[in-house]
Amino acid sequence: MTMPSEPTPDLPRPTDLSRPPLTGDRAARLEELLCDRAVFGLDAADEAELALLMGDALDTATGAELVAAAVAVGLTPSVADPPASLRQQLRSDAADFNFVQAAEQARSLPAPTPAQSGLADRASLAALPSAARHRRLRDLTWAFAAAASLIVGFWLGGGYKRPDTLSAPLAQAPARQMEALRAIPDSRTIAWKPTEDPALIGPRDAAEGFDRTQFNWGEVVWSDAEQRGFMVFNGLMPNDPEVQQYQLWVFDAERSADHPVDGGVFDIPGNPGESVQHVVVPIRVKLSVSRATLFAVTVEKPGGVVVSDRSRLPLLAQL
Amino acid sequence: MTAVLPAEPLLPRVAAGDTSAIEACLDRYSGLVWSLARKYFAENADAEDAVQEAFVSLWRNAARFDARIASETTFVAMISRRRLLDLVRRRVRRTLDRPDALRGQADPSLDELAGGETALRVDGIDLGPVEVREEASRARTALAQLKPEQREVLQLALGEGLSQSEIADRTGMPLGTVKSHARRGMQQLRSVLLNESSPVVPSSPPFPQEASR
Repeated sequence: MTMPSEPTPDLPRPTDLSRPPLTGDRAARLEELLCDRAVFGLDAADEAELALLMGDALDTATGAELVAAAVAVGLTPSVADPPASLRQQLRSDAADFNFVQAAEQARSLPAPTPAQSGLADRASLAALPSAARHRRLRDLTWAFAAAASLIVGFWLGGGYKRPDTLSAPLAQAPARQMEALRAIPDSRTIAWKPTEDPALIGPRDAAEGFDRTQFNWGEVVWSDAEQRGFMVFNGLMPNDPEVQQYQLWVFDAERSADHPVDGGVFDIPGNPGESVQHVVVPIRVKLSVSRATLFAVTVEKPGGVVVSDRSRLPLLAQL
Repeated sequence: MTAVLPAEPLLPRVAAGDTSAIEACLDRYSGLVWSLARKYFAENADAEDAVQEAFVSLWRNAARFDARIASETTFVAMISRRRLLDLVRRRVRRTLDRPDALRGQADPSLDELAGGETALRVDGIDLGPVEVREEASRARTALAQLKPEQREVLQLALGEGLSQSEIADRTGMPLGTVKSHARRGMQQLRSVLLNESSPVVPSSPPFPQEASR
């Protein structure tokens, strides 16, 4: 089985928002999550879901956040003096802060362009005189704004990350290592939850009485302390690595609104159309994961991607 | 005595490491960020930690402020709120009680707020320039145009920092209804504010914001 050791040269950059805008239920859900984030903040589960929808644009501040901020200011009729000790601490923090480096980092990040976003109409807005611009803005719908929110706000994300290509030794499933990891006090075992993705659909689906929600799709064994783990798959369909590969994403509570950690690409061996039982794949994250909250498997092009479009998401395991 | 602070944005100079601008920025916005933090954290220590983190985030993002997109005050509030909400989620230290400093203070009515008579002040000094007060007034006016239930939910969320479940408890609305009112209200707010002629909401191409955390 071929395992590419390098990412393909045409991997999307962090600012490449050229994937098609979300539509239908996914767009509506994105809209809900963006609104909830702006007004209430999100819990870990919703943030993970938003990350799946927004990918590398997760930290893009949106129009909803600006509206919420403006209203929050408007509903703050008076401000209280902070404690003197806090003011002193803020000054001390500022004295220790490297503003020059921060500005350089900020400027080194390429800004997504409207053309990249596929929302070229937005680009023309900036060129219009103010009055005309706002007349046109008036015509924009909220749904459009939700999609456009990927670009109309501010880029809050980190730098370019290369995918951690994982060469999983599937043929030598390290079951013994996995069992040893289970014995570590902080290790956790989480069952996979299925979606309706066709990567899970096999002959068993035709069987009378088959309930995919009750099926044992396998599990994730993970240790934050050890920074390693294993995935067990039951029933995930074999893939042709020349056509597509599976890719793992690990969501980290301490990374907050940052991107999920790329857990690498891997394959499920077997005959086409015949699901395989008990395939063990090691997890080898190269970026530190402080506290994993969600593991997600996507189906990607060979070599994996930096930014998943999340159009294929067969399995999730949430802590 | 009322002193109107200069309208010139401070953040571009802050990004350049101008110590006088940094000092002025702390003077101008530390009270606002502190007040926002107190909506979410009952304990002073937690609120202080949150304000410190909010300002570090602001320093990181200072170079990305663009006055064409939002006023500096809205920008500062947006950066701060994101950090505060993130900390609320992480620490879960918020209590249902209002901070001591806020107890006994009646919330101003929306009519009062919409009237713009209660402009942002610190010890009688206007927090920001005229256009900031106008922007805040526009936001309040937009809020006043919402349906009562939408307005109530957003006032509790954005004005008092209550969570969805706290709002449900306070109002007796089902949780799903709280969410629906918040979402529809925000949709309406955005629609109204997009009709305005000043950049409360973005109207130009994007720009990057945070380099690292």
